[in-house]
Amino acid sequence: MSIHVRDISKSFGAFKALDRVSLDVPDGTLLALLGPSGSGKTTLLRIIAGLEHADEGVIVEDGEDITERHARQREVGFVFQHYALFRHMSVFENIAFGLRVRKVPTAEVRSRVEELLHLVRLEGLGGRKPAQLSGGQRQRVALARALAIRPKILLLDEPFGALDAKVRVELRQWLRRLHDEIGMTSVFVTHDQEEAFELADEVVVMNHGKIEQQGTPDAVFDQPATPFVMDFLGNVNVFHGRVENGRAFWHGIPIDYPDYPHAQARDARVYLRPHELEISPLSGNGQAVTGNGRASGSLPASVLRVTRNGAITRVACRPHGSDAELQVDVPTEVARGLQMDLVPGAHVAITPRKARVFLPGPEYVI
Amino acid sequence: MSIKQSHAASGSQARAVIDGLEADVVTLAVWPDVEAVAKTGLVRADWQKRFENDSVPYHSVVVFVVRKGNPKGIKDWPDLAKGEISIVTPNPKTSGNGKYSFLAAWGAVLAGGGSADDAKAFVTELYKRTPVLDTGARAATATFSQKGIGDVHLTFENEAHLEVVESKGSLEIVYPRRSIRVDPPVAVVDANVDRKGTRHVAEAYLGFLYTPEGRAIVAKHHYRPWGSAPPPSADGATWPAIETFDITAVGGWEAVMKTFFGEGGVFDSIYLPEAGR
Amino acid sequence: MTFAITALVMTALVLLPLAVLVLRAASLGPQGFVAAAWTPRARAAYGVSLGAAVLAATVSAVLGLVVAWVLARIDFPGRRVLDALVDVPLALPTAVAGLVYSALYVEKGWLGHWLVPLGIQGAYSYLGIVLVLVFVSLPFAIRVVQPVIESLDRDTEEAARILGASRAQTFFRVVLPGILPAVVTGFALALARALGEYGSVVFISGNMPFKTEIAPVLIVSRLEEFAYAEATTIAVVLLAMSLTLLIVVNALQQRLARNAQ
Repeated sequence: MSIHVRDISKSFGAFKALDRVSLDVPDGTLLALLGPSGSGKTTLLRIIAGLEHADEGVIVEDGEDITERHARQREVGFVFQHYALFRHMSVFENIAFGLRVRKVPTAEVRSRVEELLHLVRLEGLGGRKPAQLSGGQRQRVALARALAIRPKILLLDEPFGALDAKVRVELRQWLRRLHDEIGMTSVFVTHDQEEAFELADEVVVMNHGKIEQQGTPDAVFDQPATPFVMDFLGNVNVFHGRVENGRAFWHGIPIDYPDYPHAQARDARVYLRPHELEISPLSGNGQAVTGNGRASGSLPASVLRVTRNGAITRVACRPHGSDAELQVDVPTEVARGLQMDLVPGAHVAITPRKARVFLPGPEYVI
Repeated sequence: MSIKQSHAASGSQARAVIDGLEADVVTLAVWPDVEAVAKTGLVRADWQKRFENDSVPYHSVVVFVVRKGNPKGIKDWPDLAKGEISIVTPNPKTSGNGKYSFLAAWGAVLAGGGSADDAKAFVTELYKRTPVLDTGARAATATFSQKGIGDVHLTFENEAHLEVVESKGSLEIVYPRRSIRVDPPVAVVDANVDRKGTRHVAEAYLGFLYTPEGRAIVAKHHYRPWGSAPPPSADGATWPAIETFDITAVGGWEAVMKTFFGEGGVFDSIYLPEAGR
Repeated sequence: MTFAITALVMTALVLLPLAVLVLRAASLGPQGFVAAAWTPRARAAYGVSLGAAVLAATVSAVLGLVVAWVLARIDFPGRRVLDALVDVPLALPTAVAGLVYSALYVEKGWLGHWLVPLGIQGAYSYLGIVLVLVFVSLPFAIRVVQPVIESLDRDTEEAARILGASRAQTFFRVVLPGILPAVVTGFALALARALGEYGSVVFISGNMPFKTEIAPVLIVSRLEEFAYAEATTIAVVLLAMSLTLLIVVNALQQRLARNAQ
């Protein structure tokens, strides 16, 4: 079951939650709607579910326009952030609810619910009340309940948002395997980029009611389309620089930027991901020993702080002649292999392996 | 000197004084209410002898209030037990006004030569035609004049005047041939005035009701002042002649409280399920 | 400390007056008590008092649920005014309510003008008692349920809808079990209020013995005779009946609340 969203707009009073959003979810895809709160991702999910009505635009499922179809008739499974279980009903009755209101024969209800309890690994807990379950168990009940009616698509609103970190990671991996087993078209909303990248086949980054970028996790991560995506995908060093004649300059280091071939210099922003920076001992004349990549050259800097974070060592540096701070992530093994001690006050050379340049505001792009 | 006044239903005022309200004087609707205060010793046992006319400075009589033009032709007591007449009067067990209406009906039968059995048959007829038993006089007035329930309202003459004036011409008073004389007694609360040293003022206050000025004020409010040649009432009306009897004609207060209005008394018997059949 | 204050307040405000009541009634001895409190007329009056109160509390609980739902869920012009109006019956002297209601429902009243020809006697009748009791008890039924509805998790209703439940199915299977304990609490408060009501009832009931006479009228009758002890016996019986009823309702409420968890 594929989903096609065409030019959907939705306002709540003066607040424009969605602004002419279009989106395609191919059959069998597990797609993440990723964005900060207020970006419109949940509204989009609820419109697909039929819980909200779009002001404009259409929703098409497998070639059928379902824009006007009520939530009851859309045959979607929906999982809420806070589970939304029926507190007064047992786990069994929660899962059976959709079948009961469809007047499915009792025997069939029983076998279907048992099957789902097995699927979500809650065999034997059918008689419990939701209050007697852990958060992760509750969310699995919610999932089983959503799946009971054999929905055509599965929609999940921040499904792991209310769980603690360990359970979240477990449930995430389990959900991925479940999706691979049943292959149902699924859309989930999250503000956690790690979750989106680990789980999804396809990531849609949203901001201010618009889609900033849609693509595979690799594509989005490697080629962020906008500064927002770049910013949102994780901690990043941002610096002001200049661009002219197809090259940007960051502390004198040239970075290719063919999109701006003009001779007139312009201000630009340079984005450097901490793990895309290399660190090396500084030779006597201030030149780096190593250096390659799209950017050429390296920058002398002093180490400010060093923090070990498991496999990653984070180094905070200050480029010489600057008061900006620069974050560099080095695999701990690499840090140990350096021909120097990484301690505060040490002098190092920073070499960008990769940098991205954005002109401030799309309206300036010629 | 300042006078503080408290006005409420007679029975509850009596209970308030008994329970410790520091009143200097009481002016109550019925003799049993003052007597109940006297029984506690707050008022001396001989209170009735302390002012003229057994401490009753003014009277009223029970009269009929009817709709304008008296469409049901109600002239006297027997008319109340004929045909489709509907009567409004408060519950005699909870209202002094109601007690007097009951006693007026009862006494009218006796005064006309009837026996106690005749009287009982008559009041039974009367209360069968009473669709509402309000707990107080003013509620009964509202039931009759404002809600339009009933053809005749039994009440005191002074209350009747107020009701007719208020109705702006839609009601009128009918005087039956004979009726009971209503004697609201007054008394000084001896225990309170002696302790507070206000006996002199309290006695003067009640004594004033017997003076010409006091009688004029009483008459203005449609009570008939005690004594000969009563001054005219507020609207200049003289007092229509009516043959009256007093409480002794129906047995005296102590007897009527027990036999008529006591628990399981005559009034209660009217409403026993057997009586209705 | 807070427990001590609670105990003190409850003793001074509730237990002490109740103890005085019971002691006064007890002064008659067992036989005197029964003779005063268990006459056919008194039994009929208890019946009217309890029956009308239960009926009125039931109506209030159902109506209260509807009104609370509308106030909590539907935004319409004048909602805040209506919300404020809910409490008016609590502030209005109830005698006024009795007078106004009886004036409305008598044959020449605004409503009675239409209803009495249809055989509906809203004044000086059992129906009249129930009407005013609903009036005085409805605010409790509304105010107890309203915050519970406001705090309901809307997600569960959406979940039910997505799973294919109709509006009615969603309400009866998902929403109602969650608010039923509050509805029952509202019923209990409405019942307590209705049982003790006197001021408005005497103006509309007609006070006909064996038909529309409530127990408090009998109490007042006995007080008029200065028969304090006899009057309190009736009060004690009424109180005992009310207490039993409230204990039963509270037990039911707690069972429902446990079930809703």
